Amino acid sequence: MRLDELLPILWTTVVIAVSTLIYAILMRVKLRHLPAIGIGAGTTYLIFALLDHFGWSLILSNAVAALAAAVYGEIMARLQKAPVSIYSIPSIIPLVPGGSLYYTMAALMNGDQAEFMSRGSDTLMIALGIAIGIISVSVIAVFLPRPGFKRR
Amino acid sequence: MGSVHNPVSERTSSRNWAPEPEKSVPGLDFTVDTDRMLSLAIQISAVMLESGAEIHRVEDTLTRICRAYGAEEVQAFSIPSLVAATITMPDGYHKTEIYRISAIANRYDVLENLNALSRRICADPIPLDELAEEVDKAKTPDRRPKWLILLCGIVAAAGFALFFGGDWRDALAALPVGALITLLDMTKPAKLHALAFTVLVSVAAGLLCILTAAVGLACHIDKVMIGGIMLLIPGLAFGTSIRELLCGDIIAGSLRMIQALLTAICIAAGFAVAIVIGGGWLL
Repeated sequence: MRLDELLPILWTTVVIAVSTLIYAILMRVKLRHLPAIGIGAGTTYLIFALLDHFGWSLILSNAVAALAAAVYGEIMARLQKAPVSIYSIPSIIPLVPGGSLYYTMAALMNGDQAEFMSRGSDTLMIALGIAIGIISVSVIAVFLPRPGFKRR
Repeated sequence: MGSVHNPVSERTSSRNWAPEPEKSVPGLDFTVDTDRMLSLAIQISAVMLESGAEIHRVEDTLTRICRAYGAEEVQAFSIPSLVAATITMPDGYHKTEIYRISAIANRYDVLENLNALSRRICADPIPLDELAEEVDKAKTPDRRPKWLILLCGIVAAAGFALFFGGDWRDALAALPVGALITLLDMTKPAKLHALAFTVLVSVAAGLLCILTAAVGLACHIDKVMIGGIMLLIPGLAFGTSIRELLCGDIIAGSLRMIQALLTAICIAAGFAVAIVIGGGWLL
């Protein structure tokens, strides 16, 4: 991988990490979690962008990135004794298909059937990929003990 | 009349049913008003749900708190619009309470406070008067000045426009769009239907996007619109719904997913209306 290919990806990573961090303030996350959320979102996007760059399919690269975000969420939640959602959900923001949802809608408005189908299936693939990633972790995590609770 | 066979009253009377809810619980050095305890436990879990918790966590918290305060059996049930529980005490006294949820908004600070509180009282139950005070304290969101929230909405919209491939002028054009969406969200009347509100905000934001392009600020109107859409899109609810579906909370997960899909459709419809009104010639 050449440096001039890597630099735009790194720049976008920084942009999305900062944007997600700011979005997390809107969701009223406690300020002490913000650095961890920025790192999580950046890592998630970097994984997605690199896999995408190396030609992985949309669904697979999103699934692996979402899986990384979910694992990160579970680990951070246990370290910080905070709910998992505080870390895992914001970390997935960089993958949310806001762009392809818009282009699907725009194609529908323009009456472009072919474009609508291709953009629509992209949106579905991304959503499905994220779902697969989250699922693989949640199914396992549910059976792990929750930290901090005494068994009674 | 009068001698109607009633299996329920037979069962309760044979178990020495005590009508008063005040109980002494083994292991606790204070008596527990069971009715009040259930109300508080339901209140804690319901506010967690309102703040964006998953169903699994809501039911789990409710069960653990009631157990910690001496309930022998707890039947907790929750969907995104309801929390319900029946507790049975060791002496047979039982009580049911339901709590209707009207709106869910992400307030992760409240969620975290209540989560920490529930952990603490499950390990070491405190008297109910103290618990009520603690719940009130935990329910209060951290103080965030309004201008900070507004600023965050503005910058986030610009950041997302940049992220989806816009240039600096598109990011600049996304600033007022972010401000409009955040301002409308902050001044949302409580009675207004959530989906109708989403459509209205989307139409307004879409029109503003078109305006920024019309005055020559934005070069790529699509990027500006995406910046606004990312603020509105229910990505969080969608993620939560998938987790719930796969954890076995099928009803809760599907309700939340339908809600998320409807919201996404309303956003798309709102921006579509804006494009029709504002002139399709710009696209």
